Amino acid sequence: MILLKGVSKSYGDVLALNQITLQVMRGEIYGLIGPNGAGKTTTIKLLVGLLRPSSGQVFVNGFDVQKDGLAAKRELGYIPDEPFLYGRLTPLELMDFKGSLHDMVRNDLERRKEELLQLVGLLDHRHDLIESFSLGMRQRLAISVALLPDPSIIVVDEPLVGLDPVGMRRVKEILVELARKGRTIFISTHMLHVVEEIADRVGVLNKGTLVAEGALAALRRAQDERLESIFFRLFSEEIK
Amino acid sequence: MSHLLQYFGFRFKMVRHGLAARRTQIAKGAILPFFFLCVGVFMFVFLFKAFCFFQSFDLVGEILIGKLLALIFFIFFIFLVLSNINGVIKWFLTNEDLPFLLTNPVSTSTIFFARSIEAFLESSWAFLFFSIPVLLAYYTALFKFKLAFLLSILLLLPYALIPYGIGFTVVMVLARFLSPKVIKRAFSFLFVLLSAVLVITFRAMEIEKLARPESFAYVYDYMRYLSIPAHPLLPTHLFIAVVVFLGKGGPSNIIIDLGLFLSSAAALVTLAYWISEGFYLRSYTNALVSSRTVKSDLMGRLLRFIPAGTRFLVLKEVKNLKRDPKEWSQVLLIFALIFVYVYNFKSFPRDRTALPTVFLESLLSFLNMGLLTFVIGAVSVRFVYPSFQLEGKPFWLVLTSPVDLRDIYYRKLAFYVALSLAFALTLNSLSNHFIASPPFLYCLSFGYVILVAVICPVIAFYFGTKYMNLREPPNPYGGLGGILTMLAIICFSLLTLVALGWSSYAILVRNLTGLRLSTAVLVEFGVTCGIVLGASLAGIHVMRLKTIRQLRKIEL
Repeated sequence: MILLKGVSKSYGDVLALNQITLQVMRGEIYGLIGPNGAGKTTTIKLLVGLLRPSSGQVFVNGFDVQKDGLAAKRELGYIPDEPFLYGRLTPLELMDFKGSLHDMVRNDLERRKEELLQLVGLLDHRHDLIESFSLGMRQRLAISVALLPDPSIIVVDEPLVGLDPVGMRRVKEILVELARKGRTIFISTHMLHVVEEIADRVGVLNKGTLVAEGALAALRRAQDERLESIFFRLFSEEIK
Repeated sequence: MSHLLQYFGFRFKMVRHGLAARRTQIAKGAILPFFFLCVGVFMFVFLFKAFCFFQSFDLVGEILIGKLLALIFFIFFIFLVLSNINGVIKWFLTNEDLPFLLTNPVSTSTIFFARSIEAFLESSWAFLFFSIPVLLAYYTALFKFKLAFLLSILLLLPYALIPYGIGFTVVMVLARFLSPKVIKRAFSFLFVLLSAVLVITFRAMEIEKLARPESFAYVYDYMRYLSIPAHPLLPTHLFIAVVVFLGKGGPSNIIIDLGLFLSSAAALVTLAYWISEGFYLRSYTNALVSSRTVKSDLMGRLLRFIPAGTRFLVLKEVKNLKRDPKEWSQVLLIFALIFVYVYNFKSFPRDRTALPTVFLESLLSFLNMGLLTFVIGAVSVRFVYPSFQLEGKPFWLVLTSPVDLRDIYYRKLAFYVALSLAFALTLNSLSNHFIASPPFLYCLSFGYVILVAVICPVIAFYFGTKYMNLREPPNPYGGLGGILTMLAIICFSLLTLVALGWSSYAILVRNLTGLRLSTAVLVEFGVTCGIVLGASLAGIHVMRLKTIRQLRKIEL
């Protein structure tokens, strides 16, 4: 379970997030959408402990990310929007390193490595240096690294950046499958159709404020209204 | 031409905006130019004294000056070739704005000239800056300051264009078959290997013999000793011939030398232009594709005895170092420096000094301790200081994992302290062996060096995390933090050695005179050692806590 309680974040004089409160339940896929600069990546970085909130609290499965960071991080798997990875390591070495940070048992680690590299289609590249990978390959590797310790919560920032159509479909299937197994998924993206396809609930962020939140059905005015229309309706004033 | 002007107009705007954004850091930014200025002044003073000293020798003085000048510019030339190779790879093959530039209707010749100016300036500014004090010292020593100096400054430009032409041609031809990374690695390795060979050869030549002509049996031997490999058609040779001519006149074929020199520069730039027209786009296409496979994990098997948490962190550090010749080739240079360091003590003419042997041995031992600190400090600034900075943006992987940054710090510290200890103890043992230190001073230096090997990485980590910005690539020279690290290590060394020297003086005098050691002397020495150790441990403790606090403040 994810819980953000009155979270604000300022960068100097700029207020990036303003009193955000939201909750994501176990097994749920939550999509966070919003225009550029709305505060999506800031929210995600606060959630995974890469940033500290200026005020408010972030809880992951009941653990306060600031006060009990290690326990919280044990529950989390994070896939960033820009998959910066150690370029001079191979995927296997990177996964060994990640596994050691999670104190994974050797047998488990070996099994998971093969399994996940197979899952994201990188098994043939397991001995190649990451520096020679394309953006899509790095993104797939970042996904496998995040899933390595089998986290109960997966936080994804722009999950489909750099992926080809086959890769996109595969990642969506993986996320849905994980949610079905009881994992909590928190996605931030510009791609409204992805959220529409897989998210159970949606949060709409604008200028650091959560302007709308709820199940997709609740946000719709008409039964067949698309998320894109909802998005433009919510931001119509701004677009004008 | 209009494209070229527009290009530099935009570049100028970028620089201006960059400076405006860093306006608050002007004081910090002024430190490095000031540092370079100080180095320039030091070079001028040192070389001026050297030139004046050599001039005082009859017959061979002028030859010695010429040889020294040729050697300096030859070394500059080698540095320039590598620096230009790196510059050309960066500006023509790997820069992020190239796809933008190459997909616009801009001719290859415009790209060649625009990028060449940038690559040339970036690669050669240090040469242009540091050559000025060399030439100034030369002409001041010859009392030919004004015109000769100004004319020689003009010659620096064609001199720097020659390695640019060579560098460009080599990169563009090789880039048709190899990836830029491979070229960079190969040349970095070759360059460092060459530097190491040069350093060792230069030291093994025992250049100090030149100041003692009486140590040679025949004048012929002495003259032969002065010979430095040269060829009349080498640009270094031509450049020095013109510089020397401007200084003191000389052979009448100077017009031919000058003509050859200038035409070499023009020919190489023209060749680079032709190569650019014919090869550049194909080389760039090749640069876009590259991969490298690594299957063996010998290192992992060798380090299996280390606990997994530490082992994989150590493996990451070692593999990063091993797979980047820019880094590990410098290890080679360190070995060359070790050789020179030990060789200096080995060839120190103790028998030729008037100082009493025991006093000299004590003095040498303390000098050795000071120099050792300097060497370990410099190695720490180069390798330990940027350790966290080198993690860069991928550090999110660690920051989002359930591991305390304190543990990461301790693991890294243990790794670097182990390396530092091995390095320091080897150097200390070898140098003490050649100095033939008395047992008391040997033990003292042994304890001191262990302290230094621990404290240097601690200081380097403290400043390394204080001046860390994971979003930017590390500064290879360490920047302001690197300078502060070195200053802190030097201050520590000075204070400690003064305290130890002062308290051990009485013991050394008693050893020398054969007097019995009094309890008061021993207590005084023990108390001083205790204070030094206590203060050092307190310093380590405080810096350790502050480093961990700095690490925990990281936001990415």
